[in-house]
Amino acid sequence: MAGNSSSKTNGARIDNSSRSAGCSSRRRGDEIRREAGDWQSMAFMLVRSMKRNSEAGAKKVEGLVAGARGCGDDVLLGNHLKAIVPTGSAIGQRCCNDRTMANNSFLTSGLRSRQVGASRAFVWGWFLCIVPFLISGCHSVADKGREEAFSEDLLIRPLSDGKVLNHFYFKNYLHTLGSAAHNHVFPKAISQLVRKFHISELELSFTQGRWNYERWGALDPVGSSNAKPSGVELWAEFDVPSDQVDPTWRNLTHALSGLFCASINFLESPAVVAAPSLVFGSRINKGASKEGHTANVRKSGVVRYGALPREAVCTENLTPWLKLLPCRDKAGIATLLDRPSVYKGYYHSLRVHVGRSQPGGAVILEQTLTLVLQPAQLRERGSKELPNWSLTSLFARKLEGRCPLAKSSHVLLELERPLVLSVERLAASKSEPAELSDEKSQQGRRNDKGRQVDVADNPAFHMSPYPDRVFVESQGSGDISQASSLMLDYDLQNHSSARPLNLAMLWKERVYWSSLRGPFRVSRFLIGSGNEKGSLAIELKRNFDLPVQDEVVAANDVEVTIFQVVAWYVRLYLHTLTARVDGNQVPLQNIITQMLVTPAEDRLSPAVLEVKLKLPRNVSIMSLTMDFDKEAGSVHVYTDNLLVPLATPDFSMPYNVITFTCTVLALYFGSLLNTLRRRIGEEERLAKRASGGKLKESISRFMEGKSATQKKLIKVSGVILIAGIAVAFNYALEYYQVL
Amino acid sequence: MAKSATGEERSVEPKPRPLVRLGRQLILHVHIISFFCYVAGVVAILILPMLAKNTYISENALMPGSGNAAFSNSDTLLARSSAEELERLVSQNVNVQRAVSKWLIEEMTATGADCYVHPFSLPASALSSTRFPTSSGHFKWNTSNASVTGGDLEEQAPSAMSVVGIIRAPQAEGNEAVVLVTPYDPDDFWHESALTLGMGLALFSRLSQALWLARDIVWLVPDSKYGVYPAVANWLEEYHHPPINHISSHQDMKLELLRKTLSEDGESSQQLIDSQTLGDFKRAGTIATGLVYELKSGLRQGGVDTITVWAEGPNGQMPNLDFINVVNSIAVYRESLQLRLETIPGIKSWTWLKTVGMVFEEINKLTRVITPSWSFALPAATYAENMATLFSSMFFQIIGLPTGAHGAFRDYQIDAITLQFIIPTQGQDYVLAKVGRHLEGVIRSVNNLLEKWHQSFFLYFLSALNKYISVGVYMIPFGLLVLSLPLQAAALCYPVKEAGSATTDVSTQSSKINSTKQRAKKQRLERKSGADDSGSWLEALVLVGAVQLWAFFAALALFLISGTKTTAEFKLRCWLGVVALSLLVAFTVQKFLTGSMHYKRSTQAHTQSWTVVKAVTLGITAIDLAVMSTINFPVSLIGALTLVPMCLGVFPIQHSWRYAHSDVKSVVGIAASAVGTVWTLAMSPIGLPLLIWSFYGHLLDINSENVWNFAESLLQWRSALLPHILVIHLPCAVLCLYILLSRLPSQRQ
Repeated sequence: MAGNSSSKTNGARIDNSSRSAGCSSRRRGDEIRREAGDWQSMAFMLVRSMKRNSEAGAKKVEGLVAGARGCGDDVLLGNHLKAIVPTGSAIGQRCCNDRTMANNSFLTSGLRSRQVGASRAFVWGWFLCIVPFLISGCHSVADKGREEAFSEDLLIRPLSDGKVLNHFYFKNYLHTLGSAAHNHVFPKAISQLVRKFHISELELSFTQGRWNYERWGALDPVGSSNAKPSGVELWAEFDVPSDQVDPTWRNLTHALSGLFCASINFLESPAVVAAPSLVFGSRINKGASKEGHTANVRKSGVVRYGALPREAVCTENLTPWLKLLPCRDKAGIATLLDRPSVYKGYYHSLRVHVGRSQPGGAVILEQTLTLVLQPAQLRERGSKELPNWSLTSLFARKLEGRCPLAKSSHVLLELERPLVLSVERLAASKSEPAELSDEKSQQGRRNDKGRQVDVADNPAFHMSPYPDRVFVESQGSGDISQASSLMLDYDLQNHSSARPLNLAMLWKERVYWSSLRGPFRVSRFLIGSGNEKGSLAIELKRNFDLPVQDEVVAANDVEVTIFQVVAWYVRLYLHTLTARVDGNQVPLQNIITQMLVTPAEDRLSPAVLEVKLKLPRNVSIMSLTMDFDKEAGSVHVYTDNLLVPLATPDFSMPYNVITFTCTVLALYFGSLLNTLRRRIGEEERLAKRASGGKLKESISRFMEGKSATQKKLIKVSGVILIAGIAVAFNYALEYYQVL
Repeated sequence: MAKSATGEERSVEPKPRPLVRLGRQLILHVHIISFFCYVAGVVAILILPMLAKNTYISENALMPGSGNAAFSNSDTLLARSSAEELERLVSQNVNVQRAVSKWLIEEMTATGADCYVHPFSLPASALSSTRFPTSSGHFKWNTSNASVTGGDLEEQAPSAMSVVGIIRAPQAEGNEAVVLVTPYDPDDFWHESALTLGMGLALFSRLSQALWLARDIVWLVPDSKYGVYPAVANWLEEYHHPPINHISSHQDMKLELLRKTLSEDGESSQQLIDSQTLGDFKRAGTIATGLVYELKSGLRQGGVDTITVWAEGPNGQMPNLDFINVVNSIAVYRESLQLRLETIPGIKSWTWLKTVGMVFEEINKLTRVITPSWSFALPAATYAENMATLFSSMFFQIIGLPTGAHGAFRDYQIDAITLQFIIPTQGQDYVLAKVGRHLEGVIRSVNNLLEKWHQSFFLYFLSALNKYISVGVYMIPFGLLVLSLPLQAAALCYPVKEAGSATTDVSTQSSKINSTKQRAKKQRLERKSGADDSGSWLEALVLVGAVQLWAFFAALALFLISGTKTTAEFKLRCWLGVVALSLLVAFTVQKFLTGSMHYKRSTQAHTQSWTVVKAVTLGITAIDLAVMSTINFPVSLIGALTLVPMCLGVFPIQHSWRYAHSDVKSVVGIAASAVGTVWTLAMSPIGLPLLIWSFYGHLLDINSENVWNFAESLLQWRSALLPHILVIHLPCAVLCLYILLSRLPSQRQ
């Protein structure tokens, strides 16, 4: 409300009320409430797993055994998990308040916009981006009566480590999927795919790099559902009888492989594909269950999941992805995609999501490209200043207008709540001297949101140009005394090649903030060294910056689902699964509420483990470990963050090994056999009896009677004769050669 | 003499098979053959530097120096200014560890790396170290840890804290990591430490901006209060084998210490974004390579900036040769830095080495007269230098202790080396830039590697940084040395065997091995009498078995006694007493056992018992040495050099005496038994210590305490030298003494 009045003239202002200590107790209560709200939200995280990469060949076969997602070792709860591949394993985690497990409680804590002068359409667009399963509903309102609709958005968010997150979001809506219908905007390739393979939902992502959940955030929509594991990940849910699922999946992988120029067809092998039941799945069906359909609507076995962690991602994947856009990269936001800049980034995730508004309903195609770029800036080495950036410095391009086919086209700059708080604090400290004298009025203004900080030009940074609109996000509790995250909106409709948009952010002062982290840090690692055995450990650590000690809150359990795919050649000993809570071993039945295990079958299917855990809220560390045997195969197995060194012979030396071994064996057995079989005495007798052939006999007869000297002479002359023949022969040869 | 006899016999008999004939010839000339084998073995060791080949980079993926180094002058400035800042911080703070850790955490976080601290306490069995003159600086001598070792670890708060930063490779999956280690000692922090950490930071921040990283970079700054090795080993242990209940009270205590250390002033610690996760032990996948480096101030040697390389891991395990090649080629060809291997200072000036070098040079001059192109010898000075390098490396390997923190990596099959850069006080920036570029180049090259290190050699010696001697070459001298043992053993036991199976064997005539005709005649007599000598075999086996068991017991006793809490001197006395006593017991038991089987023994067999004992001793020693060569090659080589002459040359004194007075004496024979006797006495359990003391007493501070501590540290570091001395050398020496002193029956009998 404070923002309402100011929006036109000087933009929204950041509420400064939280500065005063007076309100701290209220704030704390508030936080807890909000916290509860957050917990209701459902998020899940999969830990990616990987598996042997057949391309790696004999040198290093890689596979993902298990791995916490991305960014090194820590996976935060609230991330959408991904990953994986051939073998993989993934962990899905879901945290819910178990009293309100409503799946779409996401909504309640989601963005409840308290927008200032924002158009409804815009809000919805953004909203969809955040909460994909709401999309259809919103859309149907927005696009009532329209067959096809396309919108494009770019979300930019400065990150606390100086990098800049760019999230491109393109949405395509097709109302009816007619077999003969002609599409104007919606890509025909996708509509054919959906029709042919009866896809209820499909998600394909190409990723390079790892999402850093600790620094880039885990609770926001980008971190929680758009962070993907590196390599290719594909999962799909089909609307076909369960015996048709596998052939359909196989065909789908080949189709996608051709469509996106990637080795997705390697996912056809059942040895790398998992059929998860707890983690991935259609939001549509879940939504349906809410609407009063049977509780377990989801048909088991219609979801397939596979990943190729080592698949390289490059422009050959980006180009077909761009071809799905109506304007390609010729107009609109996609013109920013300068290839060198895009692939220089710290994180690059290309994603295609196809969903239906309801079974058989409208098709929604979402294409996102998430980039984390480091602004190139000449700054003093070792300086801790945040780098300034602009669209030109990030992409070497300017935005020269929208895609004419897009219904809406916006660039949004998001300032996270912690950042807003820090800026407020900074602004307050700058103006502190002036305020001191006016304690009372300050108090008053705080209450009615009178005091604000200019969102585009404040002590911390300067934004140019000035935003068209500013949205303030409400935090679920409805209490607006808190700083909320801000969204600066730039409508591309107002820009053209004559008036290009070059968004720029200039830091004036170093501000410290940290993005919202998930409730848990998750890491997965190997225990043990050597070539014999090892253990796989998954560890969840509580992030204590979220206040959870409150007794009421502590009474609620946290639900975590772990999805782990392990290649068949890593032999898991499932009976060694142990769980420790805060360092003490606990019986599995105490914390596991549901466990689905698919044992591995050699060369046929990976081991899939899905475990649903219920953790008391005051748990600070939970770890699961399981032993495995390394000697089963002679390969190296890689994971995104786990490399399992198996007992491997040096493949470059098989020749040596084989020849040496064979020689030794031949010598040994040869001489042994000789010793055992031959009877020397017998042989010598035989030799004496038949002492040589006829020639020898005649020679000995000839020799008989000759004296020793004569014998010697004969022998010597024989040698000379032979040598003479050899010399003559040699000479003759040379002679003929000369001829 | 014996030869002519055989000649006659052979003419009558059918021609034996070629293999038999060959064996017979070998045994016939066994003394000459073994003498020449030994000499050839020694000569082969001496010509090893000439057999060395030039190193080459075997793994193409490494591509050393192919990328331009981005390490620039501004990085050099950062290194130097960081070092200055650190020095200032350290001079202002009483708690050096705290100041440095905090600085490191802030700087690492600022580069965008994941950062955490690893608190640890002194390992339960404190790793004390050798006070060898050569290993200065790399081991810390802990004299006062006797009281600490006994303490209850659970009660003992961690007192040291390493800081670790991880750069997550921006475009990689992070399943492998390269570990950089820059040690510092908070109790002994001065300019060099600051410079090392400054360079560490400059390099780290440079790498944090590199997009080419395929592996995560882990920067480990171990708190080397207790030495670098324990700190690194501790971190690696937790990396690979996290304690099962790692959230126990012990962990809480660690975190408490962490909080105390870091967050005393709230303002700045609030800025540590990851302060909450600072206690998390973060990992970065499988560790592929380790690189320990430190900067030392010093003078340029010969106008060149030098890097000293340490590579020997525990028990002489070496990192892959390609790693050293990469370090060398980037240093020499790109940065024109001079690499050198650490050598023991004295060796190079040994005059005999130079003399040998000169002799080879002269021989080479002669051969060049015959074939001008045939040139093999090195200049005498180069020869001496290469030999010194080789001997130093062998010496380090013989001791069996790693020469630096890189040894800790070797325990997990990770290739690692230690580099020490010498930074002159003048022109510092110039050299710092070179060092930075060199390190960056090495990391980049290692980063290129797709697989494990496997292409080049693991079993090699370096005689210079670009000359290596592979296992195929250096096994030859060892083979020559050890070959004579089984030959002699066969020669010794052959007549014995023959006596046992005289009636059936066709080719029984070869009793020529006996040194005198009398013996040969006696043998034939025995054979005729049909005496069974299996008794003497049994006796010999019992004797050798008893002595071997005693040796094992001596090793065990050392282990047990080292666990007690008394003074080193008392422990040594205690051990000596136990060993002497148990030797008596062993011999008593042996006498008792042989006495009980006396019924089988004939007098003739008894006359031969020493030959059987000798044969068994030779056989066992040969097997021991061969096994040892796979564990620690230089130890087995030195074992072969010392044990082979002893085993070959030992005869009962009575026997030598009689031989010297017999009619068929030869000068060579007398000399051989004299040498054997002297050698046996010199290598005996009493003679050897005396020998060492008389030669090196003035160099090393040898007293009972040091000797015991040395033995204990060998035990703790699991050096193969200790088992060699106790389980191979000791029983062999005792058995040889037994042979030397054994009585022969009177001649007239």
